[in-house]
Amino acid sequence: MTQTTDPKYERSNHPVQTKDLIISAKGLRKSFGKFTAVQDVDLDVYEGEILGLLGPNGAGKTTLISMLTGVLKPDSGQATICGYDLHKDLHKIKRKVSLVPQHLAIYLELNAYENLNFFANLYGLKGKEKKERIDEALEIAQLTDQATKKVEHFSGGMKRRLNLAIGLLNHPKVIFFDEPTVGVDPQSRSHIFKSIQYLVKELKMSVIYTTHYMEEAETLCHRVAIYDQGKVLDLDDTDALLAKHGQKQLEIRVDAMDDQLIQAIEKLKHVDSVHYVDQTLVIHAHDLIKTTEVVLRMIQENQLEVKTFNVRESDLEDVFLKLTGRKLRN
Amino acid sequence: MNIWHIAMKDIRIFLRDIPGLIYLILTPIIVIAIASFALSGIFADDEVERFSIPLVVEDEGELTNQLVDVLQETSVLKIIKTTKDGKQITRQEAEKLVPEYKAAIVIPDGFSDNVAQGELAELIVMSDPADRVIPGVVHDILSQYTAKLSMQSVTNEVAIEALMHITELSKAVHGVELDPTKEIQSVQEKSEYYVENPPIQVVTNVVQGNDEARETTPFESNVPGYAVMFVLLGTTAAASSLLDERERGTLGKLQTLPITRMSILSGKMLANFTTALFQMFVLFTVGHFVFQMWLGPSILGLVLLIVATAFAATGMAMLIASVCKTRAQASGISLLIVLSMSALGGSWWPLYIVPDWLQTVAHVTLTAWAMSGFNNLLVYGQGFTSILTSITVLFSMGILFLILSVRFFRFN
Repeated sequence: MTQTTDPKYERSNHPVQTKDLIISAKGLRKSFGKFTAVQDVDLDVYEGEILGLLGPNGAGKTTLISMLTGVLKPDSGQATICGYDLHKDLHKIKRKVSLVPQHLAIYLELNAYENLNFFANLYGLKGKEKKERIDEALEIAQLTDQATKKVEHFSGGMKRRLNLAIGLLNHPKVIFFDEPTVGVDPQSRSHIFKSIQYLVKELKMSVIYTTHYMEEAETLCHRVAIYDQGKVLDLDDTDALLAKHGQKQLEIRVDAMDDQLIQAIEKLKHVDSVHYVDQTLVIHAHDLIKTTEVVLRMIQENQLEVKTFNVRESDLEDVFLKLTGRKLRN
Repeated sequence: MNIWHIAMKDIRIFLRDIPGLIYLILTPIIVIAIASFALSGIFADDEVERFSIPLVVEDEGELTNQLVDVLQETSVLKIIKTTKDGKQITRQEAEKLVPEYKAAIVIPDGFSDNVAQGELAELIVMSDPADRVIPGVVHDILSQYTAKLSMQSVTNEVAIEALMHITELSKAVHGVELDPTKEIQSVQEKSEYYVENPPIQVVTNVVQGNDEARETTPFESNVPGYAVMFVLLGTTAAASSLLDERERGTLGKLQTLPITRMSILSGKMLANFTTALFQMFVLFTVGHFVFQMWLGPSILGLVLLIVATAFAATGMAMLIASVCKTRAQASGISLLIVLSMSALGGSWWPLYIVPDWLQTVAHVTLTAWAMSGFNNLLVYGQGFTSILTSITVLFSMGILFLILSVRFFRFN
């Protein structure tokens, strides 16, 4: 694979390769004591697609993929992955899937080659095949020149890339990326994106990508599941999600708003929804011009100062806000 | 094979951890050397550390001269009679020296005369209230001497009194006047002889299992004692790497691979067991070749006992790792358990010096069983059969600990 270190990357606009299901989950549920982390989730993932799980920290994304990778046993529900039953054929599933975890699952005391060799051994790889897989993973992660360097001397980005390389050793059909860009510099982030696109386009892998970064989901994923409090609130491609839940919105920055005024705005004739987040009033309305005029007057009458206001198109962040009442990064 | 790969990874990491290796190997060697050389006087027959004791001589009688000779010949005391400028130490000067030397002896004026006349004669021991050992030793030595003197004095007095009585009776009843001078002299000579050669004596015979006459050194008990303690500390630290892997996320990653959870735990156990064996063999090798520690009459027995101890230590370490949530928690608990077991189980001192009930309690620890076996082999020179119980109990403990650790370990 030939890659540049240009931090720019292209949007994943290539089509999904087939309409064959690679993952089909029904009613997956997982609780820890009284807390239910995943609530009866249904999820279909198609071969060759990048599916984004977009949700804030603590939404239950990691728990969901932990169940799909065999780390956690579901309390209830069914799933078929690569044609194998999650409950009956977990060992076979583990040969077909891979996880690139949020935490760096690497041994700092070993060098990059030794890390890859250790995991390759556990995948049962031997001889020439093992060497080829390790070389390929090092090349994709652009770590060939650093293979014998102790990992504790790696930069954060290099460690992330090694984390990714380990996930490629078994040539998985499905690869799960759990927040792979947290704490990563722009250059390594770009490299990770390009690698994911390469895996899907050239190596025909399917990717489940969890993130709380709206831009990543919009740019990288063919379809996005809006995920919060252990539930998939909606799942579709970005355009469809925006068409369903997005609309032009009015944003007015006001330093202080009292609840009474917000309630009064909510009751206005053309207003669909009102949220007051980060000193900004976000209003969705089917007649934005009339609503703008009325709301500005109400603010003025309450002797509040309008710092800024603008009207813009919705993005996935707005869709999330509309579906959950919360921002992605609180 | 997965077990092997996991174990090899841990062993590779272990061998690269130089500070860790120093802690596991060098620290016990230093501690063994210090503890053994410090106690060498207790075991050696020749050189004994002597206590320096100031002596105040106020009496000039013959008995005082004898007493001073006796004190100077004592193997545990080094008598200081004069000050730096060569003058006799006075009672006032001795009082000032007591905090430094912990005790001083005073032979008061008239001591010899008082003994000769059968009157109360005192020897004074000045003691430092902060030290009970040295004044106690000095007191015991003086008591032994005064007991002999008292016995001689009482014997003479009773015998002479009896002879005088017989002489008086003979004169009164038979009108014959006897001269008891020769008998009195004979009584005095005999009493002196028996003081020097008491008719009842205590003889110590060192009993050893082998025919070879061998002198026991502190290393035969200290090397196994500290080896067991440091192996326990080492294995508990190594087993805690499981918790490290859980905290770092590598354990989660391992669970996504096509290997069983049992393989992961077994790999960790194998690495810990290998580390413990390595540590024990290095310590025993150093003990033998550097400190001339005797390896006992059965090398096979010693090797089996080392393997059994390492196995039980591995099991206990895995159990601690399985019930603790974090590495910090495991470190604290391990230290508490290992130090308690070492004190209770006989790593630091022989078990027979503690009360019977404590000896019984001690045998819930693997340290007590291991030390019992090592002492049978290396200190008492007993053969292979003497350690069979220890080996059986240690292997059983190891198996039980490992079963419990598999049962209780939380992967997530």
